[in-house]
Amino acid sequence: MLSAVEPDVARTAAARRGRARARASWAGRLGTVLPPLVTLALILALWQALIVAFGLKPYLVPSPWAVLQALWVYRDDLWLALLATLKDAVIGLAISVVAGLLIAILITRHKLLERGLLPYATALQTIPVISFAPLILIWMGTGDPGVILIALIVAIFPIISNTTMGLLSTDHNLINLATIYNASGWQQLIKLRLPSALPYILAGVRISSGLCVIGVIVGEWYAGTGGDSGGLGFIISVTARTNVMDELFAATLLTSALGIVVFVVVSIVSHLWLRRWHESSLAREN
Amino acid sequence: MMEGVRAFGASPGEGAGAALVALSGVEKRYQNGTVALEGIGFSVRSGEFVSILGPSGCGKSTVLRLIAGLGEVTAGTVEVGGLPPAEARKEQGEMAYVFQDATLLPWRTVQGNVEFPLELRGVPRARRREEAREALRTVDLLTVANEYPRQLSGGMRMRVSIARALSTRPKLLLMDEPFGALDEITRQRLNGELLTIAAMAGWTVIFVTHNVFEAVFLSSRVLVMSRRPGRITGELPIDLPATRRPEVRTSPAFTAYAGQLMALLHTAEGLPEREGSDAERG
Repeated sequence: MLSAVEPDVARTAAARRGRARARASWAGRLGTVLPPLVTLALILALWQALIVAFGLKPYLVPSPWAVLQALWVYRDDLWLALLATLKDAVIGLAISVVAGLLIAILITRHKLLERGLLPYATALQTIPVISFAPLILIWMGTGDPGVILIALIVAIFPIISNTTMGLLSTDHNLINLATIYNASGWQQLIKLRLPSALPYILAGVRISSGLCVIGVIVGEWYAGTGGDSGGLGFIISVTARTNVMDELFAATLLTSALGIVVFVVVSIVSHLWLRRWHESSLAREN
Repeated sequence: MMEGVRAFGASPGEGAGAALVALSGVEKRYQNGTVALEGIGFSVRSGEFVSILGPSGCGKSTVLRLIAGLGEVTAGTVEVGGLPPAEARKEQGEMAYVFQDATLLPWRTVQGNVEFPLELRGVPRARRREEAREALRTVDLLTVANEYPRQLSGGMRMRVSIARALSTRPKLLLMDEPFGALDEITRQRLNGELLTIAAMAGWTVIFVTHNVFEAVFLSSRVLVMSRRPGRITGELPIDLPATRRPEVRTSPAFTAYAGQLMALLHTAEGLPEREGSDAERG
């Protein structure tokens, strides 16, 4: 009926694009890697220069080199703390994804629930974490559950609001299609609404992944010396109070690194999941 | 391409089967009081290829949606196989719908898209795969079974959409301007393929279009609609040879039918003679 001309054309075009990409990649990679490295070098140089210029004492501002040394000296403590924080953050994120999805599904299934709950879900996001973190620790104790709950409260809202938005923006024609082929409500949800909301959901998880780490740190920070969960927030809290500046800086650095790692991992998962079909994950030549 | 196209529509008047679709006194009034359809009544027998031809906004798509059971009439009745559409739909293989755009699920491969209706119906995986491959072979898209919709051209996506309808083995196929967004060359090719497949599968087709030439080429009968409110203002049986090759488009009989349909459209609209409207690009 039709010759296979179109797919062939598409394939050769793809191959051509692939080769062009390979050629451009070396120059391209250097262009992406170099600028941030230059910025880093400048910041470190400025940092060191300010210390020398103003004669800042190590108990006020440690030098970059001192921070590096602290990372090594306190490596055992820091490593354990990092693991503790990572564990709470991952658990918090996992629970917020599951609970957030369920809440969003409920909200979108029942118009009344949506009208009744969504305004508050949105308003609750404006309450700063520092105001409710101490309350939760008082109620739940200073262990992992309290810290995880704080992370959960911070991280769940982007997932609820993004998933709700995603579920409500399913292409109307696709819903008609499913209706004509007699899809049940459950089938529509599983085979149509959730997959089509996936880009929204994953964008929400990405935002939440960063928030989750911050939530855990705040929780651990409040739990402080009395806390039995350890974690980077605990170290930050203790070292800030006892003026152990090099370890404070090292812990802060690790916190930031942890946040970045969690964010990058979630982004990679999201990209791999969407790359075949979604606009946001497709390489564009024009 | 195919060797000549066989139109299956039996000679009009001569019953190829009982009325599969029957509309009578159908009215559709929106909540704001607008009357979209008024006094729509026609029936389609099994095996017919009926086009509904009319200008944009005349409600022809609404008629199709009502036949599919998407939305309710405000007066009159719609029956498919003697049942209300929503019930007729529940019967396996009763009805398939091809939308204006391909309406593919972007996260599924071509194969996965064609399997979609079968999956909803609970057809076991192995049989599903087989049926989908069969449908893809019919529209000559087996080579792209594992590609995603994005990677295909508009014409190929439309053929996937047709394969998806094909996989359900429907008695009744409803098509809502399926080739409206395609270029003329692709449109003509797909018209030919559609006729072949419909004849092969024994479909009854109701085809909505605003293209006079497409309507003549495909149909065994054309219903003409006018707008505000949407009414059926004319009907024209197309008595062209059963086998319709692309060349039929330049035959005198074809041109005469096209002329008659344009005249019907003009009377319905009360428009002055026009030049170069949509319909004349065919």
